[in-house]
Amino acid sequence: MTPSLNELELDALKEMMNIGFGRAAGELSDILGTQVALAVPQIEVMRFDEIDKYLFSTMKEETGYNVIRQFFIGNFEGRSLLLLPYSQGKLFFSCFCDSLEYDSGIDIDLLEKETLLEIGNIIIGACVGKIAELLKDRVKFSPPSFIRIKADQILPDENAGEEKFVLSFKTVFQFEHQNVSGYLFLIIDYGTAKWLKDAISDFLGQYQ
Amino acid sequence: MSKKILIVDDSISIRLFLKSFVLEKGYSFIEAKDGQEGLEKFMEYDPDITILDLTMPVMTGMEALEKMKEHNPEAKIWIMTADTQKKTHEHAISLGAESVLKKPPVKEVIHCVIDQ
Repeated sequence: MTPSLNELELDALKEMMNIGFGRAAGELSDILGTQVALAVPQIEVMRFDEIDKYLFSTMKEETGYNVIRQFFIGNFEGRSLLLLPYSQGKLFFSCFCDSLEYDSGIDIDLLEKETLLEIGNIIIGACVGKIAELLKDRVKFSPPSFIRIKADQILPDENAGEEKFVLSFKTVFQFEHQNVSGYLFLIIDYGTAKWLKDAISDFLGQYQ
Repeated sequence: MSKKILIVDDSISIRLFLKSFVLEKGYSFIEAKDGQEGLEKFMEYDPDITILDLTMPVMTGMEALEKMKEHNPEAKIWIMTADTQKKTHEHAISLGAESVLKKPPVKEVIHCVIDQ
């Protein structure tokens, strides 16, 4: 059963993520020395086994994804997957590395992976860290890892069989010359989903 | 007569927080869920203070701010945003915003703003 967040709880979670994306955009902007605008994030809650169908229906044109994966541990605990379609990953990379002068011997593919890994680390850290902070929790992060999957492959599932839920956030980072869209999936188990619902309820309760 | 405070934000929860802060002070609370609705209510109610989100559907906070200041250059409009970038803040100030407030809203800060 999907954890039943009501409209107000979902809105609060979306706003927390919005604040997290805002912090991430600020950090990316500091690195780039240019302004990074944000679109209104979209949020959806689904079961883990629904992700592949969801991706297929929302990103039909894509041939595959760069995935930055990082675990977070605390009361708010789970796995985060930042998905950047291949085309968007290239755009992100070009925003960061177009001004660099490459050594002829440099491995561009490796440089792209390392850049996306660092971008993913910033975005995940800012977003997950902000949600935890606003809900009065503190999370630790595992080092991020990077994988590439083709559009017809399914996302890897650790602890398969366990009931898991996905908080899906989509946003667009608007750089000076181009927009880059990506998905952030937070995959949590039933116990964390229950903790999250209670924590959001407490958060909202301060103002009611 | 009680002060009129207009809150423009697409988030229900942020509007709810700000509503409780405004009502605690005994002021009138007016709300709008996007920049377009915010602009319409701004023209209709002539609020004493407006607090405006930036990232909203239909019409962004920056567009709404520009139009509100065109309509009433003396209006006191504060921006509230999750965006921490200096350039964003400078742009809002250049369009006439009083200042920029950070999200999530803090009661004491909002009380300071609406008490002015």
